[in-house]
Amino acid sequence: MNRTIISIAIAVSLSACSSLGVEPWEKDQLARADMALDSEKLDLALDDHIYFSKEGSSGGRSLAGGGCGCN
Amino acid sequence: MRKLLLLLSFMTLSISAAPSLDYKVQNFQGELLSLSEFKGKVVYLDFWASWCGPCRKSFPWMNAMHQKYQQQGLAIVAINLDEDKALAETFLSKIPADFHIRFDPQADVASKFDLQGMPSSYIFNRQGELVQTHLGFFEEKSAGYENEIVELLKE
Repeated sequence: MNRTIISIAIAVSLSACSSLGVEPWEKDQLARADMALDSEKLDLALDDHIYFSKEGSSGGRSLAGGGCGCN
Repeated sequence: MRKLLLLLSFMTLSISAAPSLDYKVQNFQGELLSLSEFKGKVVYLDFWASWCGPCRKSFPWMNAMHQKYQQQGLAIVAINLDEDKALAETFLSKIPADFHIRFDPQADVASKFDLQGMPSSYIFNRQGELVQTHLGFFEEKSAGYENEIVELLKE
């Protein structure tokens, strides 16, 4: 019994998640403007504000410098 | 043991699908038509989408090939993979196509062909056997693509 379970587990792991991922014809969805990480500017500004309050630092997301607390 | 074999056969099922002309795709009216209607001709099967840049470049070339070789038995079939058919229609109104256009909005056939990129083209000979595949469309290679077609038409 145990041997069957182990051999099934090994057999299943052979596929190694090869069926996951984005197919070539789905890439238009990824390229949509609202799929971009920075599509919501207000959301970014709020995140920055919270991060600044918590860490006493600013910048570091996509700006040069930052992180030293000296604005 | 039998269970294991069954499982393995299920796993390989998705891999065993291969490019062929035995699949069905939709026409403009949404009717399912088999690609085997083009058997007996040299078939240049192309997968494209409205958002794909190189596809835009391949259309004028495919139009030219269609004009030049349709009498000799070349069938150019371009399968659209847009989820939204309206996008494909806008594309076609800007870049008209003289050759056969088919639709595969669920990408069933595309997954059977196991596309690696867009556009992808598959050339079948008159016996319906796959002889050549191209990933992407490169204008500088188009003379080579044409030569392959000419050679196949002679067979």
